[in-house]
Amino acid sequence: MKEYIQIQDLEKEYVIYERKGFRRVRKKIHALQGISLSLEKGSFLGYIGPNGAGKSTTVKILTGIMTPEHGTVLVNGLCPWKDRKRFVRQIGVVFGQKSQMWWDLPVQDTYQLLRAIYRVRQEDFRLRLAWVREMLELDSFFHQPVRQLSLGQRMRAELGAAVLHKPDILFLDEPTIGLDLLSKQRVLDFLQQIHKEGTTVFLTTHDLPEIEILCQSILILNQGRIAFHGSLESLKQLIPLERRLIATLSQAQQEIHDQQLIEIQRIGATYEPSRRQMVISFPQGKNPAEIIRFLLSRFEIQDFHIAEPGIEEIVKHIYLG
Amino acid sequence: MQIILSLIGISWKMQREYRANFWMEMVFNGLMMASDFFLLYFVMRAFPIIGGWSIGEIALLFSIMEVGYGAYRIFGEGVHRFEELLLTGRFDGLMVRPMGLIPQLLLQKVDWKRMGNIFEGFAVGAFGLSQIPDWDISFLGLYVVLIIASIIINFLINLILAAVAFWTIKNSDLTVLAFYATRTAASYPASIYPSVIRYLLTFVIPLATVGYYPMAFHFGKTDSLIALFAPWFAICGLIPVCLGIWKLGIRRYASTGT
Repeated sequence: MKEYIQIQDLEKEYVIYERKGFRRVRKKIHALQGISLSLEKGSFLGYIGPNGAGKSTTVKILTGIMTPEHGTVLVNGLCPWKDRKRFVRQIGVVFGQKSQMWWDLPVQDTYQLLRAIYRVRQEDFRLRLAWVREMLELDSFFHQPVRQLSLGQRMRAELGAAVLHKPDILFLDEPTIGLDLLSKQRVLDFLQQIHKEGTTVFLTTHDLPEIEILCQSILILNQGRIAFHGSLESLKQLIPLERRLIATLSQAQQEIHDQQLIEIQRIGATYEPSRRQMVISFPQGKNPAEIIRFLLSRFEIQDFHIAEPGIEEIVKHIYLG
Repeated sequence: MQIILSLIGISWKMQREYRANFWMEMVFNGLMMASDFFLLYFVMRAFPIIGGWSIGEIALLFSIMEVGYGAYRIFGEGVHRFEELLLTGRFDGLMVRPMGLIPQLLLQKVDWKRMGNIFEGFAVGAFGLSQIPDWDISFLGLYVVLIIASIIINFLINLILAAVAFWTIKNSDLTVLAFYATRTAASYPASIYPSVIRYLLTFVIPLATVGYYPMAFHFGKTDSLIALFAPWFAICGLIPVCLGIWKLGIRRYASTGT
């Protein structure tokens, strides 16, 4: 069965000119060094990687803005850069840092213009617009010129603009960057809704918690190559980092004697006096019951919890190779 | 197309909201351009004939260039500020829309205050007509046709200059160098310039072809029919150059992505 998005051996080089002393030296940057990947229709892919990894380049190629040196891309049977005008009809794109709306005009007018450009039928548009306005809470600023909006408002408007024509695929390049918590939440909720409708979503972001909430599969790009592609679960299993038990001492135990300090060190724990916390790391798979029993017997424990390795740690691990 | 009408309607509504500002801008724009002509007028009071042309004839030349430029600038904001589109990366936003890129440039904004240029251009033209002894409907017809040609040529030349930004990123200096001076120069009869300049205005940045040559033919300063049809030769020559450079520019952008 043909996958919905098929990327094969994608390679992209840039030529830049660096100044070395008094001369300009020509330098080749290998932004993408052979990317292959396929995605099913309706999936939600989180695309992450350190700066310079090639994320934006990939998105630009997938949306038809850039042409690669080598490799093929087929999205629903179309090649983004060869069939540009036909292809972009079915996609929506949101750039976190670049606006696509008419700056001097009210949001409402940008939406009207887009309706004409994408040739959305009047009735379809009316329903879709109502839905978007409600989901993203655009009513309070819908008639204001885009240049007067706050970042959060503008991002919501951009999101709405990108889905007015019901695209099959939505590409997002760091949509939540710089947003306050409330706006971010609205954006994430909206993306979940859009995904539920069946839209395939391709999200590039630096915000890892976002990925955890939204994405089914994750792709980690590093130095132009795919470092990992799979589900969040398999990512956690791939790098078996340790879990941590964090125990807070009760007020009854006023201080730790030297004897206890030695014991703490013996079991490989650390103690944080200001927070009255002990932290013990242990590998995945090991039952923490033993550690808990030991601690309870030796110390006055008020509370404890177990921290899973954050996705940040895992990803950092991968970035560093 | 419906999109154009939409944009015009929307933009006009916007302008009406800032009514005072709008009228002021328009008047100011018009006066700015007219000041050029006022200067010429007083010069010509001392020198009634310049390069074989009378004040009325020059006024008509001026008018053709002025109206053509003003009309181009109404929809030409995207072309005029193309370098900004590239620098801010907003050009990518245009590339992901299912519409031709050049048409999208024309849709970026409707700059109504350019009507000031147009009114002023027509005013100068009317003055010119008043100074010409005999003119008829056919002359008016020629005048209208030449204005249309002027709009097209202004657009084509500026599109070429804009496309240069694909290679150099910033093209504003080039535009100033290549266009503003030549535009002013083409508002006066090319016969007053040395042959190098005349050559430039005829074959390189062919602004003289929409005013000077056809007008020269009409006023009997030359018998060559080529002069009458000069604007269309220029346009036919410019279109492939323009499209060629633009396409090359797009290809370069797709390959290097600024």
